[in-house]
Amino acid sequence: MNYAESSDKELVARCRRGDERAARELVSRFERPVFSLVYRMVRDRALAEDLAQEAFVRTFNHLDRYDPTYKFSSWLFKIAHNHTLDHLRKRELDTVSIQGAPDATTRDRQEATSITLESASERPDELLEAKRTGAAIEAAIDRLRPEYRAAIVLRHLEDRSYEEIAEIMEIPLGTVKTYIHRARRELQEKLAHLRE
Amino acid sequence: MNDWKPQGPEMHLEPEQIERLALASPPETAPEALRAHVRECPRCAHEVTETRRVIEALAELPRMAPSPGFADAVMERVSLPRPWHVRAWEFVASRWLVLSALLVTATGSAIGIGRWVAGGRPVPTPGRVLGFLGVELRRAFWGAVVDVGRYLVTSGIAHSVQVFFEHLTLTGAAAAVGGLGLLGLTASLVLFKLLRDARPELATLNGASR
Repeated sequence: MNYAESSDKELVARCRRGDERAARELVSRFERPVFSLVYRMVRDRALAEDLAQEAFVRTFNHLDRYDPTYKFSSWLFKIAHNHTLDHLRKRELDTVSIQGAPDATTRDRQEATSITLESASERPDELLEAKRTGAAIEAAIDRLRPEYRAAIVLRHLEDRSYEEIAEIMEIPLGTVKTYIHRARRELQEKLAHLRE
Repeated sequence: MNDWKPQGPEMHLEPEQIERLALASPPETAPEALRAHVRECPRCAHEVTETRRVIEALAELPRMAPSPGFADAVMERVSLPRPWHVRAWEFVASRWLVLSALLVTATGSAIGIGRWVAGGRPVPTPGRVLGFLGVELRRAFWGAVVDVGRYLVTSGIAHSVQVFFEHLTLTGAAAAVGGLGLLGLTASLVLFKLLRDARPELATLNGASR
């Protein structure tokens, strides 16, 4: 049995028969995108790890409720999104946050707003510009409503289709389109200063 | 969406169509009708450029990863559904005491009924069975009493106790009673303290068993 080459569906079927290796393979497949979504919603690494971990645990411990006609990843993202949103609502987390790398005060922020130098030939002024853009867009995402933030991250960072996002966020397709359109519009406005 | 055609100068592209043009790589892969409109409409052209800029900026963002121990931490808390034969074995293993007691009771009952029937006794009614059990239990109890008495006499313990009481003074008896009382009190206090200290563990065990 080659776990790495198995489809999500096959792995889920094995998990339902108690196969822990299949579960571990699914965790390694989705830990990055799930963590990324949660992190961009809460902006705190430790908290994001806790919430993402809980999302995975809930997913696996309630596999009996999973409908295999839907994509496993959509179900997992839905649980992660709902759990994070619940947390944000409970804590009334201040979603207006810091202003990006130049003013980043924590290591997380610096990491989140930094851009990896992809080649040795990249010029320092280009790198600085990229960092400035990265910082600005992180700060702009920070200021979006949590719903817009989740929709835009799922669409343009996780490459999810509109239909999947509707499934994950449990909202009508039209609402997804509105959220993404408004989020992009707000990001455009907030990033306008970079062109000046 | 591919069939979209501009109906007039006031008509503009939908957000989804703008996104499609912004994501098209190379741009020629986008439907011709949309590209034709953008060539004629500065507002939509501007919108496509701006949308592409945002999408590209988002794509540039670093992908976040959890710490290396993330998967292990998840797996520690996951309890996957187990196959029926595993669950059946766990059920038996966790309740072996109760099941053994049930087995012994069932076997004892079968033997008792067998003996009853073999002894040519009348049809067993609850009253007759209880009467039979009463006689058997009484016989077993008195048999045990006789056995213990016989042991005490033959082992010399009874004689030792008799000698002890013959030499027991009032002061000695008071000291013995006081000492035993003190011992009992100490044991009670120790037991109380142990139970009080173990309360959190007991609560955890209680919660886990639910």
